[in-house]
Amino acid sequence: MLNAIWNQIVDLTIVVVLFRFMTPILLAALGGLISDIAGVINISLEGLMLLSAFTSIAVCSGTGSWALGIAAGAAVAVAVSYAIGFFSIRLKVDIIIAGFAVNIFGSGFTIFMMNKMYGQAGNYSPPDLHNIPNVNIPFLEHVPVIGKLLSGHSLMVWAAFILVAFCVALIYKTPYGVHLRAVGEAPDAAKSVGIPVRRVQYSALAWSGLFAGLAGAYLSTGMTSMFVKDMTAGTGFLALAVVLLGNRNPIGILIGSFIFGLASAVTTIVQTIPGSQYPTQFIQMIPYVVTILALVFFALRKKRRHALAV
Amino acid sequence: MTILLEMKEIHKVYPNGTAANRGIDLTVREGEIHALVGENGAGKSTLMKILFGLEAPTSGTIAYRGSPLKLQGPRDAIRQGMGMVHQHFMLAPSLTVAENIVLGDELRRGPLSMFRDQLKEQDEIRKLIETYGLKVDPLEKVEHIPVGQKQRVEILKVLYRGAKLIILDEPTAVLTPQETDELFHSIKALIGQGHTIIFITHKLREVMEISDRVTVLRAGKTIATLETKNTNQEEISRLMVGRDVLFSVEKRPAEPKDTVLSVRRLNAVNEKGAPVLRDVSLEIRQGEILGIAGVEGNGQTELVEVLTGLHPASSGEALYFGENLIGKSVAEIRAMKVGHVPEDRQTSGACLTSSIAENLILDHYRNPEFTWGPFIHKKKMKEFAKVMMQLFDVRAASEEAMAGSLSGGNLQKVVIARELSKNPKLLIASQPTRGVDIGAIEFIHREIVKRRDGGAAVLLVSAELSEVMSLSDRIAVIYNGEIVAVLDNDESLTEQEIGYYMLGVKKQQKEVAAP
Repeated sequence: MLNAIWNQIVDLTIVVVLFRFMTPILLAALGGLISDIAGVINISLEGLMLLSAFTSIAVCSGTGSWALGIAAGAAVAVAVSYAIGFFSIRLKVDIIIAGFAVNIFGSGFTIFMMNKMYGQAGNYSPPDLHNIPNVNIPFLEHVPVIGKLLSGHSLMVWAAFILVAFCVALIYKTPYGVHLRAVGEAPDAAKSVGIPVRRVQYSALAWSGLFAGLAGAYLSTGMTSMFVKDMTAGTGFLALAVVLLGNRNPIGILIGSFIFGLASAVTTIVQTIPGSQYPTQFIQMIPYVVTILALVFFALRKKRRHALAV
Repeated sequence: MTILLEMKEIHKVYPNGTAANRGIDLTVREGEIHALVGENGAGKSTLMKILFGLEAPTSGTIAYRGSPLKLQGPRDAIRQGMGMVHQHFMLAPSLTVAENIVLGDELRRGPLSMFRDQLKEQDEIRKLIETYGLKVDPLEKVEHIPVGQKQRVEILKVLYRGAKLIILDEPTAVLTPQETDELFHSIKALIGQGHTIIFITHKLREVMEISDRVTVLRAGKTIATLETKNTNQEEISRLMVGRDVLFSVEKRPAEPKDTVLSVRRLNAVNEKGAPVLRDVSLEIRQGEILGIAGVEGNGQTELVEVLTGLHPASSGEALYFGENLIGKSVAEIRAMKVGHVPEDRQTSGACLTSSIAENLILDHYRNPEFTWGPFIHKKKMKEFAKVMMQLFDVRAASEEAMAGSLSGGNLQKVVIARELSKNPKLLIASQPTRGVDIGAIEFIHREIVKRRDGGAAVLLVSAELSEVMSLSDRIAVIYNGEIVAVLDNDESLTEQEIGYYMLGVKKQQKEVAAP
């Protein structure tokens, strides 16, 4: 069996699978990051992803345009994030509770709509769906190793990597980024110099909605070509763990997503190897075990660093 | 001198009917240092909120540079050339000094650029630092700089925004004497550069030291505006409180008797594992007040918490009449007649959502005197509360009023009343008069001295050096978790001397109170 895994590593299939798995985690975590540094942590990434996944596949199959699908999914996620903002910032509902409500709503509502619209209970896979296209790089795609490494990935994979750089610039290089950090850390200080605290917090939630929306759209119209009930399977929560693990900065999050993506990729590869003697239930636990281990590691490291700092 | 700011007949009534300002006049001349004093609740902060555009006055006029001023918010005030240095620092700890200074007014690389021009920002800040002599490293993170420098960052912040009129809200509350001197130096430099200062404070000594004129507020009204050189502390305090106030605490020399508490080589770490108390050794005897002086955050809080059972000690002992307090629970320690006035009355001193009466018996409710079977004897509780409120001059609608509705001074009196009503043999008082007005301070000080004379041992911890000096018989100075000096509090002891120990510049050579 190890041999089979090794073969997949050598022929770089694992990289392809890794990119597929890390993209939704990475996108959602970037969204979680922006909301977190502005002090309005959006724990509803899971629910937002489900809402977006369903919306985008519905629009995509209805119109035949993947771009419209993504746009619709992201728009819904942004709108729901604004609603969270309305409840938590304006009406002072605890943001964790508002976020949880969206998670529950996202799961239930998508199943309900799938049933109403398509008469399906478990999953909906429209025929000849126009998926988010893959980017095949001319010439390069035929070069042996580099071709497989760089070519043939979904457009959204590239978008996710570019968005990491975008977040670095946004958070550290623009005045808006400083405002985000100031609002999250010392809202009174931000207010005293005339920064519109609430507006910045709304915008942070909107960003998190946008990113979670992209992640959700990719799940249904990029990674797969279907909507499955609760298809996020904890990706949104995993993304929140990645935010902490990545030390609340985009590069750290990229690394964190890589680790979790790898865990999922290994899981998939092990599962698809014929004649595996391990029960699938155990194999499927890998990403979650990695989450727990990673968080324990993170906590220990933080403790040690604090001890050293004084 | 031209008049820079004229506030006339300012009234402010909040929607709930509270009249915070009931006719305040304030005239500030250009280039002066104008002190604004008044007890808590006299209307100072409301007035400043109005001036800074955070609140709109119910009636009254404001003229600034001769023309009427209408403000929509703090941004307008800033644009008019006003700047406020808040009492609680308005800084984001993980941002750099430079980022905090320019926050909200970042420079961009071009009119259309999305990006910050960090180099240009730093240049501008360096220029400011040079002009005003406010030394601080623009690239350091705010969380890593000491309090005195944080305040400089606050001042640089308002200067960066081009403030001509600078409001300083109790700027010395968190500073050591040396840092205060530096601040005053900077303030004078600002005046030299043509700025005008409104200086809000509780400390009349500072008013006398630095201000040109002083406006006294009481109960939402302007009582008087005086030339500082023609007045004195006694007059100002009389105007503030409305009656004569005793400044120095009247007390006889201490007559210390048996040792009550003997702390030996006490060590403790914080939750991150870093040492916060290092080999602390102290002795407190019956009939004396031992004051702990030190810049906040040097282990005072932990020392008090260890002695009262709230924080574990990693080694050492604290013998109270020969019995070790370390390892005992809070309830056990309290049952041994140790009274504790916690430093934060809002979070650990009182339960804000309970009534005054309930708060007063918080430490006594197990006492058979207040119980009726498993229940609390309400009637006895209320009777007790009424007596206590009278004895300790707690001003409230009734003993059933919520503790949270009391002003700081009255709430503190409730806490003090509770702790003193158990007749403690050891009273540990942490910041007993923080944020309490002059009248109440006088009262609390008298009560503490009364207990001392009654034979109790008192451990007093205060960030106010003047309080430590006026109350204590002996003063222990704590620096970085270590007792660096134990000094007899007599005439020869100066604030400067203690200040050196507080900053860790000096340290008593011989081992203090060797076990």
